[in-house]
Amino acid sequence: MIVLGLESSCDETAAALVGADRRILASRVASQMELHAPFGGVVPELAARAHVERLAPMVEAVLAEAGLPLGAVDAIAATAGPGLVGAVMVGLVTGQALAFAAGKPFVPVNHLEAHALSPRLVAPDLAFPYLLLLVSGGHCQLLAVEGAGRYRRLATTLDDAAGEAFDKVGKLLGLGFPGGPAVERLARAGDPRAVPLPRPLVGAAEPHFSFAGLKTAVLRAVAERRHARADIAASFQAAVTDCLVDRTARALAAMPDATALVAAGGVAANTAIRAALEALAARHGLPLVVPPPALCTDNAAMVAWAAIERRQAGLADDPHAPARARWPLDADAEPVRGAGVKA
Amino acid sequence: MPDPLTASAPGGAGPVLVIATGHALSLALVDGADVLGEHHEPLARGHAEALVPALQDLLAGERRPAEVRVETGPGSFTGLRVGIAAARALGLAWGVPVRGVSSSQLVAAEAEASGMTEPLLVVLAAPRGQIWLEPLRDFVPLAPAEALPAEAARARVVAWPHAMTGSGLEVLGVPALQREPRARFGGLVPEGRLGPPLPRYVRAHEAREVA
Repeated sequence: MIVLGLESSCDETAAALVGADRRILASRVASQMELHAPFGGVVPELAARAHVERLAPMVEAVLAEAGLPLGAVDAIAATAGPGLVGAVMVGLVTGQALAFAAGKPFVPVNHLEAHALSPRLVAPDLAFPYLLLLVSGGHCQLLAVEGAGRYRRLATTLDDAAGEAFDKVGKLLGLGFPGGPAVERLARAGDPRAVPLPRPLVGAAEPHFSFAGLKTAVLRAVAERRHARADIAASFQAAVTDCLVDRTARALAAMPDATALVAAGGVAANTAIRAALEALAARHGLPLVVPPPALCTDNAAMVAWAAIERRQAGLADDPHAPARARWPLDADAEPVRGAGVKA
Repeated sequence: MPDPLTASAPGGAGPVLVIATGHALSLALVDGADVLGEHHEPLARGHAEALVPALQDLLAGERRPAEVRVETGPGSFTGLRVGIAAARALGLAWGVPVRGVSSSQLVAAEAEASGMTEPLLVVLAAPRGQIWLEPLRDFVPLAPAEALPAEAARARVVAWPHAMTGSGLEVLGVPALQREPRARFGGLVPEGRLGPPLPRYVRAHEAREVA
């Protein structure tokens, strides 16, 4: 089975061809970073504009790269949410129209599920259930992944996503957008203990994340002009790492049957965070699985793979599913205060 | 391999699928002035959900077109993008050309079919009480399309000495035949007047650059 996957939920336009044998036949991602950077964040209208220009040529490019006609594809999948709804729509309608014209099944994919299952694309031995820390610019969640379509949300953020906090701190430090990789680079030259910063909710009985207070503390530290920017970056990164590790440790304790700790999303590409999670997993006798960076950030191979997993699990999806701004993986999860704005 | 429909039709012509989603949800399979099938429903929102099911109904019986034409605006940004994304996907899957037809050209084609003489001022209702204006002659814009507040648009309309048409006239209280772009007239626009299948954004996006 070969699936064509499409992704357009935020500011990356992506298309990929993936086989059920886990071969990635072609995978392309066009970042829109240069379009959004002058505005200090993703502008939804600009994102949708770029997707409609770039997606069809990109589909042609991945088919050409794999040397396959569209007729050789067994199914077509596209992200149907959660995300910027005008952006999601472009990929979703493209996928639905391709499937209709080529006479192929169409699979609408939850972007979060694509992240959640992406580790299995590169780690064939990764068995369910595993604990997933999904950390990106739009999401910060801990999920028990029990199978395709089967998720229990153990924690979410009460305010900002971790990657969002990185981006905002990057902006405060004058590093431009997106801030995550730039903050990490600057942090390497700084002292992580130099600036006292809070660790919101660390040790708390409730399971969730919160980063708004940390961001405010960074704002104050920047305004004081007493600290070197590298020290602020390093201290901020250390605080985020402590928060992620503490909350993840709590979730691991609540999930004794977990086979692995998995981290996905753009923030999982941060070396310091990854090292801390590695140590945490080792303390629990578990492997840490982190997909390679190209699969951690938004991409379409994970979308195609999620469709393969869903079809193999016998799950039936409505091909006419609408684009959704919000689409929680665990529909039964209790709403938490402030959360859910992003997913 | 030549498309069977294209190959059998004289001069390489064949049915054209027209997708217009900048205003209504308007789809038609046409051959010049002949309308082989049509789906037209006034729809302010929800084009994305309705489009592919409507295409399936329209093209049931394996009527595969030789060309796709898609409305490029001015119209609802989201609606236009949905139609253009679908049109480009269909063209890719079928291996047929995809061309852009402007909203004003669709309206002008209808006006011309009913005997209205050119030059023509196309006046279309835009969101938030605004009006899109585009003067055309022989399907070519005489000036760039504009989005104007109703008062400014009314002044333009009053000063225009020739024929005018479009859904925006009703908004301005000017008596006229009301028209929104309809896909069934897409086959009447000469090929040389068509453009690329990309949205024409008349109003600029509203994001401001950070200092």
